[in-house]
Amino acid sequence: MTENDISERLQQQQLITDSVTAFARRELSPAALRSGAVSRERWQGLAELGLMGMMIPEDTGGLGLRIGDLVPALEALGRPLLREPLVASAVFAGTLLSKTASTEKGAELLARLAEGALLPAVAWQEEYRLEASHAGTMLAASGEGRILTGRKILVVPGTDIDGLLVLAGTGGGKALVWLEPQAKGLRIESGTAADGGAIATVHFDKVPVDTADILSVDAGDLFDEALQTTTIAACAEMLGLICGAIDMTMDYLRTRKQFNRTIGSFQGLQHRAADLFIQQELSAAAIARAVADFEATTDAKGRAIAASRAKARVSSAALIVTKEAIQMHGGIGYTDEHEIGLYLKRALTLSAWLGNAGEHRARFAQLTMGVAA
Amino acid sequence: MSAAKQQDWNALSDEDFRSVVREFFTTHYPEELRYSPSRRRLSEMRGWYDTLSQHGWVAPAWPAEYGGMGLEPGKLVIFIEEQEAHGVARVPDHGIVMVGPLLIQQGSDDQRKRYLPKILSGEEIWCQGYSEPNAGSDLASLRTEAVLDGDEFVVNGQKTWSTLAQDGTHMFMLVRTDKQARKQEGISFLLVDMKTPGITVRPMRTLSGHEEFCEVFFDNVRVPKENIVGEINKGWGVAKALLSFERLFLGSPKLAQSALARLSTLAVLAGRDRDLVFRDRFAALQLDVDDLNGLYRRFTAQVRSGEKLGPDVSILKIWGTETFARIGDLIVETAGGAGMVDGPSAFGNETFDVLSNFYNARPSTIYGGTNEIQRNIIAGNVLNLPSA
Ligand SMILES: Cc1cc2nc3c(=O)[nH]c(=O)nc-3n(C[C@H](O)[C@H](O)[C@H](O)COP(=O)(O)OP(=O)(O)OC[C@H]3O[C@@H](n4cnc5c(N)ncnc54)[C@H](O)[C@@H]3O)c2cc1C
Repeated sequence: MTENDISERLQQQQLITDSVTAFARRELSPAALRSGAVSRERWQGLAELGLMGMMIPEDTGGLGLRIGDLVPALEALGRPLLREPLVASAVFAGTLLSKTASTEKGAELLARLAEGALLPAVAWQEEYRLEASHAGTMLAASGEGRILTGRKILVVPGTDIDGLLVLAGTGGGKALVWLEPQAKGLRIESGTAADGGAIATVHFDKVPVDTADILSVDAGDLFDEALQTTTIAACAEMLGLICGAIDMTMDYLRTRKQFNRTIGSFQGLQHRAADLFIQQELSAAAIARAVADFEATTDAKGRAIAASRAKARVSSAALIVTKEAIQMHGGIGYTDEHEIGLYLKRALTLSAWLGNAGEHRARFAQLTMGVAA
Repeated sequence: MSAAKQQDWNALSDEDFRSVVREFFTTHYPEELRYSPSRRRLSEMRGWYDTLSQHGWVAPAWPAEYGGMGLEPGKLVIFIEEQEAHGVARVPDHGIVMVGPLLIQQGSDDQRKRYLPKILSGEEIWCQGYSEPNAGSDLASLRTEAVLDGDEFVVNGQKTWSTLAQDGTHMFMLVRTDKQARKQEGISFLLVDMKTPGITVRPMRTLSGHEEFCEVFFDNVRVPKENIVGEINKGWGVAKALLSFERLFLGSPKLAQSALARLSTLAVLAGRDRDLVFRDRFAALQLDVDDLNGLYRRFTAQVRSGEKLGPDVSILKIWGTETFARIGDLIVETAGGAGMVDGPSAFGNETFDVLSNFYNARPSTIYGGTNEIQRNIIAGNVLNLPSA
């Protein structure tokens, strides 16, 4: 990149971050997490900010920005606990669609996504463990056409979606398939995530698939890249949540009085507050390093290491911070009425999604230290 | 006192006692109430309370002369271990664990006669009214007041975080009876019938979505003078004696032990039980629980021999609840992606509620005196470090 490119990129990034921050202040509040439901209106609003199109390549009408450009915006939206599935639908599905935009269907879906008129979910995981093979769902020939059979779990968002991007085995490789919710043989069993959002188990019972809806039959690499991108994006959203929880808690420490003193004046709490700040800054550093490594590498292993580096740190930090936040609030922190608990619930959800800290440490170890004896 | 036959449990060998207890739980405890992920309400536990009551098993720790099982510490620990291993849920037990021992120690004969049998029979269920919105850690700053008017106290004010007060027939509470005196010196300990006019109970939902505690409002509530425990204005001392029971109780290995059992179940379900990283962390927690048990036995022995508990009992509450919390964390981690699911997740043909222990661990380090306050006690009253 030339100096010019870089400064242009920074400018665009700044513009988007500013408008997103203003949007977050105006439109979002942690309490909205309670309702559980995704607002299509807000989804549209996010699209109008240019967020859906940010990572779409320039030649397909997007801004062509990269994951690093998105971090500050995601952080700003994570702070007030954005309910809408920007990372799951726009970043994850969006990246997959960008990479399959050479197909007619891919291009069409991508255009709808950019306008805020599409809410897709990605169905890829089949077991709770990140490093399982997730390859039991198969796309197979059947007479003239093809059918999809299998089951996917932990699909986010798990309700009110316009369609699913399904990763399926083909025998030789992996395919990416688009399915609409009303497809024959498709059953979406919706449950609830820790943060109150919908999460689904999806069953495919010989679902007929149109050739036009097969976005790729060689999706292994592009999927992995999208997954790592999404993992880093989820970390950015968690960083916002960490900052938000710390802010709320420091406000409480500055105002709550016991023993005729503000509780924030007790040194025992001051030291732990300082520790939380360290967690916040470590998370930011881990994300910055992950972004730099991710953008500098072209191989799948390097990208996976970058994603694991961030997710291991930030998943752990988000739980440390939100648990401490509850503790420092005392009894009121354990009520459903107080907003601090919403941060904990969101942290539980995002930290476990796409692999928790332990799973990412294990993957990091495996990729950087060789396979254990 | 109780119709059930009295038996000298302590005369049995430990092994015999263990098998009697195990047999009892296996025979009588309702299968569907095993391994309860959250605190059970009275309505769900009523049948079990009755069973315990009929067999004279409601109060394992009370002396036999008052209708308890009179277990010596070693036996009590066995009782708890078996109870946890079988996944027996708590009945609403403020009466059993707190009011009973308190009245036995500090109540009047009349109070013992009046209240103990109804705790044993389960007719009366107690809740605790100490905390107020502005008196949590600094409990002695409480402001709910009781003014003597003839033969009755008139109570006005608000209590908060009262666990399961919506099911309580009675509350034991701290009230201010002398506004002029120094903080701790104007407080009295009062027993209140929740049906008394002027009491309003508002249940509140917790993080995990259960109505587990309540705000309780008092508006000119008239309470007979004889419902005071100990002397007027000496309630702080009464409560303090109870607090060490509470710390002993809250520091019992129960929570940690049952969470550890859940963790080992999950490890098998999630296929992690052979994993070396997991085994290392499990072993560390197992040792934490074992040593917690050791500490617990030491303190219960102290109580049994009639010795007063010192401030060092705070270590039990800290280690017990924080070990519980670490186990809850490892459960979430071991579950992988299921850690983001609310309620039970499917593991093969079984289901497992991943977050329940994690959620229950949150308040455990807050109630009964936060762990920060317990650490202050250890630093100040055990280690005699100077205050800031
Ligand atoms: C699930 C649950 C059930 C409960 N049940 C009951 C019940 O049945 N009856 C009842 O009366 N109460 C009950 N409580 C209340 C409980 O005892 C109080 O929540 C607790 O004493 C803390 O008070 P607080 O909530 O006002 O927190 P605060 O006292 O405001 O504390 C806020 C934070 O400041 C810290 N802090 C305060 N002072 C200091 C200090 N000097 N040094 C260092 N840190 C400090 C605390 O540790 C905490 O982290 C319950 C609480 C919970 C969560």
